[in-house]
Amino acid sequence: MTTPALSAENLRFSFGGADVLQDLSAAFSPGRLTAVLGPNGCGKTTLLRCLCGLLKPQSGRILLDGGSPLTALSRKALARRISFLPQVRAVPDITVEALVSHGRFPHLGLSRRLTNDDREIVHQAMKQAGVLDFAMQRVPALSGGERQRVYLAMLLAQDTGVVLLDEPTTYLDARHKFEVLELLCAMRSSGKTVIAVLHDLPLALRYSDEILLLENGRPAAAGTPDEVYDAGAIDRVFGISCRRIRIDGQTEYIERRA
Amino acid sequence: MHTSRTACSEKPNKRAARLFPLLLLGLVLAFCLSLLVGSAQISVLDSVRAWLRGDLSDPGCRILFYVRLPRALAAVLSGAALAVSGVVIQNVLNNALAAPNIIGVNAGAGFAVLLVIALFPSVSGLIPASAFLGALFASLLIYAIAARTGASRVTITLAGVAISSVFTACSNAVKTFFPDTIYNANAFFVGGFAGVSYRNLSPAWAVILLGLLLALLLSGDMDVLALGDETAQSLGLAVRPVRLILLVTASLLAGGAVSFSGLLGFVGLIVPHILRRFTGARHRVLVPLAALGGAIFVLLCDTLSRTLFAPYEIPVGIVLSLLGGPFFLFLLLTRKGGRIE
Repeated sequence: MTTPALSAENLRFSFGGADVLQDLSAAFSPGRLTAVLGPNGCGKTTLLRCLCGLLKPQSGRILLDGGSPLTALSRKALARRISFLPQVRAVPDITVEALVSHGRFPHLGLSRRLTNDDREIVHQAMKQAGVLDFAMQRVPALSGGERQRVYLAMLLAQDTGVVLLDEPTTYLDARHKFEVLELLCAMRSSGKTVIAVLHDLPLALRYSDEILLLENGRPAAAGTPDEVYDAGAIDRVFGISCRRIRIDGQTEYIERRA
Repeated sequence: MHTSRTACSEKPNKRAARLFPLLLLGLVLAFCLSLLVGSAQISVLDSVRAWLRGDLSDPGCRILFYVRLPRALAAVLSGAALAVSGVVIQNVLNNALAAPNIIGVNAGAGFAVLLVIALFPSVSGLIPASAFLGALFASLLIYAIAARTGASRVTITLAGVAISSVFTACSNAVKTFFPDTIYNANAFFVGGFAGVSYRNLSPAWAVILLGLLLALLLSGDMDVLALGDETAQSLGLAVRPVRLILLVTASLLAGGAVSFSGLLGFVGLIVPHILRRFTGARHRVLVPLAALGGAIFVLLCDTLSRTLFAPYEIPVGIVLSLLGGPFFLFLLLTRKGGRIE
C-alpha cells in the first residue's frame, strides 16, 4: 500500500447545525485520477474545499503525503502543493496569458515578477492545455469551453502535486467534456494526483482510475470504477440503473431510469 | 465571433505601453494650460522673470506661484488620488459601480474633517489624519455590509448611498452647530480648489503619495483578487489581510484628497471606467494610468470651471458632478449589475 498523496481522517463539517460531512475518511493515491461522485447536497464540494484548505473542518484532519497536516502549512506553501479549480469562476478582462500567469503567483517573490523560468512554465502550460493559439486574446472574448481550458492551463502553471477540480465539465458540450477529461488524464499520467467532483456518471466511470462515492456526507463506496460498479453502489445511491457495456472494444457506461 | 476576436486581438499590454507616454504628455500640457489660463491676464514669462529676480511683490508672480501653481498641484494630487482610490475600491468590492463618492467614503472623510475643524479650529495639521480616519471608517462599514450579507452589486451601491447621506446629515448638523468656525462649508461640500494653498497641501501630499505607492505595490495582488475569493485563496493570496490593506490604501487616497479639495465626486468612477476600455483590467497597468488620467481630468475640469464664466468661477465639483451623474446613470442602465468585465 503506497502512502496516499492526500488523506482525510474523520472529517466532520457542519454548517448551520446540519452535518455536511460526518466522520468522513478517505485516501487519495498518488498519480491517480479520482472522481468524487454523489447526489446533490451529499457534501462533494464541501469535501473538496476542506481538502484544499479553503474550509476548516470542525474535527478530523487532512494529511499531505501521509505526513504534514494541511493546517501546518502557510497559505502560500499550501498553494505550491495543492491547486483548486472552483465551480464558479470570474471572467476578468485580461489576456489569456495574463490569467495563466496568475498560476505562478504562489511561486513568486515579494516583487511579484515572473522569472524566465516562470514564463517557460506558463508557455508549456498553455501549450499542454491547447490555448497557445489565443494566448493574447482577452478572456471575455472566448467561448465557455475555451475559458475552461484557460483555467486548466492556470492550474497546470501552478504546477502542484495535487490538483482538485469542482465540476470542471459543467456547462460544456460533449466534445469539450471529453477534452477536459483527457487533459485531466494527461495530468495524472505526468504524476499528479487529480481529484475531481464530477456530475456526469458515464464520463466519470469511463475516465477515472478511482471512484469515491459519497452519500449524506459519508463515503458509500470507494475503489476502481469496476469495483464500485460491481458492488451496485452507484445504482443504490443515485436510485438509477447504470449499465456497463462494451462498444468498439471500449468499456462505456450508460445511465438508465431504475 | 470572428470579428470580435480580431477587434481585440491587439496586445492590450502594447496598447497600454503606448497610452502611458501619451497620458504623461497630456498631463504636462494640461498642467501648463492651467498655469497659463485664468481670469487675470498675466504674462507667465514676466512673472517667472520677476520670481527669478526675487521680486515677490510682482502681482503676476504672486498669482502664478501662490494661486495657480498650488491650485494646479492640488488638482493633480486629488485627481490622481481619487481615480486610483476608485480603482482600488472597485477591486476590493468587486463592484464596478463603486467609487469613493458613491459608497460614502468621501462623505465619511468630509464629516471627519468638519468635525475636527469645529472642535479644534486652530489645529489644521489634524485635517488629513481625520479625513483618512473618516474615509477608513466608511469603507470598513461598507465592506462589512458586503462581506456579512454577500449582497449584490446594486445593493452595495445603494447601501453606500444610504451611508453617504447619513454622513452628509452629520456634516450638516456640525455645520449648523458651528456656523462661525466653518465659514466655507458650502465650498467644501461642493468640492473645489478655490482657497487652496501650499499649507493645505503640505501634509496631504505625503498621505496621497503613500497611498499611490501602496496601490502600485499591491497591483499584482489586486489582479489575483479579481479572480474571485476562492481562486485567489487557492493561489495562496491571504485574501482578508490584503483586502484590509487595500481599504486602508483607498482611504489614504480619498482622505488625502478630501482634506484639501472637499467632496469632489465621480473622478473615481469615470476615469477607471474609461481607461479599462483601453487597457483591460490589469492593475499593474491600470493603477499608473488611472493616476495620470485622474490628474489630467481634474486639471482640465478645474481649468474649465475657472475660465467658462470668467471672471467668475464655478467650483470644479459642480463640473465633475454634471459630467459624473449622467455617466453613473449610463453605467447603471447599460451594464446591469455593473460587473467588471
